[in-house]
Amino acid sequence: MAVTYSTSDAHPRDSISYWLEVATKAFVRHDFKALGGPTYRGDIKAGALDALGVSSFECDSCEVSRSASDIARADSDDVLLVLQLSGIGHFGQDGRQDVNRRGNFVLIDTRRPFTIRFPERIRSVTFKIDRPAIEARLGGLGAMTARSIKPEGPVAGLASGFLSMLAARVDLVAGAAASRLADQALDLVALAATAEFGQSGLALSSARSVTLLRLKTVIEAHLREPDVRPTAIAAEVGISVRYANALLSQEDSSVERYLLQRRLERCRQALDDPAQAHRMIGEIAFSWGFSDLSHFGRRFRGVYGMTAGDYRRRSQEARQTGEHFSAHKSDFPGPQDADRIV
Amino acid sequence: MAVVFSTRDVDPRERLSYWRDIMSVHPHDFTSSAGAAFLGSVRSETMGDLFVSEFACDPCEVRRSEAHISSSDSDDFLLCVQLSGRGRFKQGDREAVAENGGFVLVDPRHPFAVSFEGDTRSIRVALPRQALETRLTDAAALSARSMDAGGPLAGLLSSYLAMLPARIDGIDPVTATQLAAQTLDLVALAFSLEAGHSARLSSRREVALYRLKAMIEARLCDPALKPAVAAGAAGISVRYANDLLWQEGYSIERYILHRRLERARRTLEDPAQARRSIGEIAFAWGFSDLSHFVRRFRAAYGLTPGDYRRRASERALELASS
Repeated sequence: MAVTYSTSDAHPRDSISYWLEVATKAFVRHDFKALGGPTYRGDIKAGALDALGVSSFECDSCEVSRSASDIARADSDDVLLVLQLSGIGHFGQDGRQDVNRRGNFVLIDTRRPFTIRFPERIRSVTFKIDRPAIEARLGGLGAMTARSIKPEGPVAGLASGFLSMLAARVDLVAGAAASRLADQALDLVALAATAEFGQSGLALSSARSVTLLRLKTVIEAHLREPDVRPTAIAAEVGISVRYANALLSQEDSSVERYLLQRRLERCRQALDDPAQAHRMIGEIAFSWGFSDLSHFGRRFRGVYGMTAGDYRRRSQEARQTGEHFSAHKSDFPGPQDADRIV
Repeated sequence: MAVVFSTRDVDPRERLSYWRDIMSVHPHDFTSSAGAAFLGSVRSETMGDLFVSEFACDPCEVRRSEAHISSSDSDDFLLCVQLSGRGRFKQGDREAVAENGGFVLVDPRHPFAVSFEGDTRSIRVALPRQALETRLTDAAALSARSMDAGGPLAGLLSSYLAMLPARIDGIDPVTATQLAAQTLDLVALAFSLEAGHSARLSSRREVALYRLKAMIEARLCDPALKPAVAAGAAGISVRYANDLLWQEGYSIERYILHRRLERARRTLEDPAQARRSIGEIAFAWGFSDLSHFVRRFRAAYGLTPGDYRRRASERALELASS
């Protein structure tokens, strides 16, 4: 069910803070600067097709940026696709800068800093894509972020048309149909992106990002093994521990911290899952590679701000009352903690 | 490369017979109230295994009889999208009308008649029978039913197909094959959702099975997708989910495995993804154990993923050079 927010519901002098609040809810935590006068006008219709968020919006000129400290809060692991319906947007990420014009669309990774500037009033649809769903279809996003895909390309034109038609129908489709349609949209976007970047994306994608992807894959495959060591992981990828840590440092992480982060996240998902409600917390922690329950308990509380038991209870209650529930996430433990991890 | 025919360049006295000649690849009777001076043009292109044509023509009637059927070697389904004018379809005791972007699926294995009225512009897509039937088991039962473009998915399909003809020329052969598969997916999706009421009432079981499959499809990437999770997302018990899939020869676990293998296989076929390692692809589609993936892949397709990818890239090269 789509929800509509409009700055016309707020007092004009509160319009900017109201807009920032709803835009954060609809997209991702970010900094915001209105480029016009003190009164800001913006409307968002936030809907979804199963796991694919679909938000149509219209707003005055502004600047949006997501900083490393926003990212460190680990509040989002989504990829944004911004389809421009009118006006233009300047998108910057990973050292690239591109202009998104009417009918173009652009991919943005919320796990790395980015900037967006709309120099004039615009209309746009933003799709919020679950990272694994797009990465499974494309491999890493590599060199595809902040590169505007133009509808002149035949497949890109189809994808662009399909996405805007989809946005217009988001209220009319629900349940299984919505989920199939979301899959179709992602298939088409992936096809357009590979048709667009295909070989050039390949040439531009740095060996570094491919190696980082492999590193993460190997870590993911070993999460359940309590005694896996960074040296073994790096060896399996065929790189040194030092290089592995350097690769992850661009995400403010290291091999050990990333390993811990992923284990905690997998445990949290298990605690959220009603089908796993019968499993004991200790059992879940052990199954995701923790070998010390009190260590797990401390780390969990450190990251999610409550004990694993409280988290599970709150998540269950939220499910029963149908409320949205999200744990407070503190910044991830700093590098100085690395030696105490694992 | 698009093939374009138009009767406009032909002597007005011979236009109708010229048109009949062009269309004789699909045996049928053809008449027009415009007579010998019939105006018609068609632009046809292949996209993967689909054949897409855009027609503009005077009012006319097309009739396909048993005799035509027995002399024809194609049994592709025809999907006719009516962009302007009106198409009236008759097959057996069924009658269907397509107008304003509405469309009709025709099973050419049974006699049918179509009468095009007004200033007709239409898009016709020939869909390989087997490719459609694997996606839409009761495709034949959906023949000659009106599909109104007012339905959200029917409208989406109709506008999508209308965008196709102008773009096919610029698509490379490998992408065209993938796009053809996606187009078939979309056709099946639109029919399975919007023909439900008019074709026949889907049973509760079918609805539950459809929902279950959609929930599985959307969660394939997640290695934590287990039978209980999939059944829970579809709002049914694991036991009932297994029971539903059993009629297709799967258990829920085997169905998940089957879909993951299929998605991984499609990824391995894609030359644009050649830089991805096999392990990464397997992991991305929810496998968590590479040797398990390789074993299962070989059991399903008779080749290791590496060999499969090599074969596919050889085929893609042939396709690109042909």
